[in-house]
Amino acid sequence: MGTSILWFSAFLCVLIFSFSLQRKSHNLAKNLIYANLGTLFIGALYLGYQFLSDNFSFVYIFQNSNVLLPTFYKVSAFWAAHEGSFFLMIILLSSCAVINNIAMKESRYLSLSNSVIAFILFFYLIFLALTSNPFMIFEAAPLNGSDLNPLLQDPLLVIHPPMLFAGYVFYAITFSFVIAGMFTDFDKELFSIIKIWAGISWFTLSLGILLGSMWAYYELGWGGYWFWDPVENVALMPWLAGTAFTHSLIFSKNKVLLSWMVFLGILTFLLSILGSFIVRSGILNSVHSFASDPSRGVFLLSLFALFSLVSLGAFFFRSNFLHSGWPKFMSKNYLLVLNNIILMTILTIVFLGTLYPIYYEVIYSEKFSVGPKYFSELITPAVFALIILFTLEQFPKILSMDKLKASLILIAATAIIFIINYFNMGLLLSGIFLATLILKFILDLLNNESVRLHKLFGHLAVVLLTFSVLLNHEFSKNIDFKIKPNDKVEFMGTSLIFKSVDVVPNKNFDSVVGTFEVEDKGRNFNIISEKRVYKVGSVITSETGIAPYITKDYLLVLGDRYKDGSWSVRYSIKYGIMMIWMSSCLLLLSILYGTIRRYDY
Amino acid sequence: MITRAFLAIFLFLLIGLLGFFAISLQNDDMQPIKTQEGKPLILDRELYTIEGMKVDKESLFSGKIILNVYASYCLPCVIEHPFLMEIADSKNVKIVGLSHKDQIVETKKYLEKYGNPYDFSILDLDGSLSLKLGVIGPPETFLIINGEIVAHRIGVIDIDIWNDRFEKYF
Repeated sequence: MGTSILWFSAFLCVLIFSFSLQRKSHNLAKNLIYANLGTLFIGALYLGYQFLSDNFSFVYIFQNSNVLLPTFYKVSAFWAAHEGSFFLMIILLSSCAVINNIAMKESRYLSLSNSVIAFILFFYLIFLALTSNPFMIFEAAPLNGSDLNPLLQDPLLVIHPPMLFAGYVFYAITFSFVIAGMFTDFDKELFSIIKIWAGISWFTLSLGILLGSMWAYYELGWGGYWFWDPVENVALMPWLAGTAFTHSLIFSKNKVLLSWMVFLGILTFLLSILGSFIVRSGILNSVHSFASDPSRGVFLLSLFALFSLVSLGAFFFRSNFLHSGWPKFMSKNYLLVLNNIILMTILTIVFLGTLYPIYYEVIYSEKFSVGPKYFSELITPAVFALIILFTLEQFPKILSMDKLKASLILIAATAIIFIINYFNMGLLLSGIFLATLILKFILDLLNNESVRLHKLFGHLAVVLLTFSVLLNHEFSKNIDFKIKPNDKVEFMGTSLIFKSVDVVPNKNFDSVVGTFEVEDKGRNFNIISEKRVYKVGSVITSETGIAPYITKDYLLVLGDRYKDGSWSVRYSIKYGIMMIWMSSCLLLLSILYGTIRRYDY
Repeated sequence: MITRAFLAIFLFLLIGLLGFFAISLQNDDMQPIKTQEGKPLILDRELYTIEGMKVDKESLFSGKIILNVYASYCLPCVIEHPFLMEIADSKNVKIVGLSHKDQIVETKKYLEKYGNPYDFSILDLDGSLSLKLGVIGPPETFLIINGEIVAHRIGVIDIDIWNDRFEKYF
């Protein structure tokens, strides 16, 4: 039944695509879009019901659920693996189309956008039905499922994938409008539609990445928040392109570099598909490899090729109709162009670093991996260049000086970047920039000048984030040691006592709970670290014990037990983690406010 | 003009990239898992069967032995089970089971339900023996001749894989 729902929906997409292109049948196409969402929704309910009723004759449910699994995770297991999450993405995309059709009753871009979305949906559905069908059924039904991957049994991970997918989906919507604009005309109305969708996608994608990063920190127990893992990188690439895209939309007022904006709109969408290709094809080894399958890779690669060639081909032939001008030297728009160039540079660095292993393997038939050092050393100066740019932008007087002086300032800024890089003074410098921006903000408030809150706080958040990341990088330390219950260890001015270790049974796992007491300059608290043994398949996971404070986090990971009753323990002190989360949240709020504010116009 | 020139270069690079991906996907040995073929069998501690009997380790080091790693929670094991029964009937070879991280009761139920092709089944409750053998997860099948692993299949074994990699030793 499920599979036929998918095929029926694909058939509806063909109809929507063709009807949307004919003026006479626009209304019919609209109704079909509603019908399509309804169809997919029935399919989702059907699958969801099978999950709740433990019907393990479905391969997908067998692989991702279990009788013992708590109901909450039975629901979230829906999108725990490739099939379900792709299905969810399709449902999201078609709901966005419905939202568009409700919100914009009469818009000349709507039908073109609808047909683009139907085009994308059609291929996604075919892909789902042929290579990753969540409705596939066993001939003989097993009695119990093989359980949801224990690492995924975490509230953060329940919302992380849908957020990320939602970000990707929303960029497909901006893409559809950019394409629509290319074949009609970019006017104020279209720009405001694109701005809102771009803002929403930017927000969701950022939130998805942040949640993933938090999950890595709290659940994986690696003690880090970003690893330059290929899968993280492929989520970062559309984010970078999206950031550049959102900024380039500011040009729209006087249509400066219109074709560049169109290009970014297309690029962002293509990078999100490239992302799913890299994650799902298993072409690169990563923590996320559990989702890989080469046969899907071929299909996704073809999809990527199809979408990119069609959209870029269309762009190529329409490019002469897009009127674009160049910005004036050292004007605000000029700084925005520089911003875009730097963001593209970072994107290129990430892109090359992520894909070089594939290239290397094809050429030399050997495995190769790019370490985090490559990324951090190349990207740090670029981030500082960005910070210098938007700090400079806060001082319009400098910009309005004559060209010679302005270029001197630019050169000086470049010199600063190199000095920072050479002397490793990033922390100090980001502190200075932070102070400058805050002071300028206060001065502006006192002088009753109008302040664009979303911009200012967004930029402040970026500086604060850079500051916290550098702080973390510079000062964090950890030690590994063997300890017996009631023993004491001294580390970085703190003392640690291993108080007790207990076994606690749970519904679908048993856990070994270690309690530690930490004392740091009068501050006294307990940290609990767990080791869980899941009942099905005996998978063992470590639950890191974390005591978070504003400036530093205390982390404890309980390791293995030795024969003499002692345990291996990793104890780390991480600086600035809380500040990283806070600045990211500030950034998210600024993005959200910057987007919502548009509804006033 | 600039836009078009830029786009042309971009498209060119993109096609190159697609080509690389396509070649890279052809490599079906993308994530090679190393089999234990050619390595000697090492058993450094006492082994017990699921019935609680001590295993005569010397018997595992002489002659042809098929060691099959299975578990009651493992669905692919059910798929390969009839083939193992067939081998037990048709070939003159000793088949030894290794119950991977499984409760004894469950293993016994499993063998009652699907039949028992094994001469005996070794108990490996915590998976440490499997770890030493280089097992990734059930089902896996080893062919051991005089203490040397000559063939190792990771995954379900069937007639095709048997003919391809195991038959030549019989």
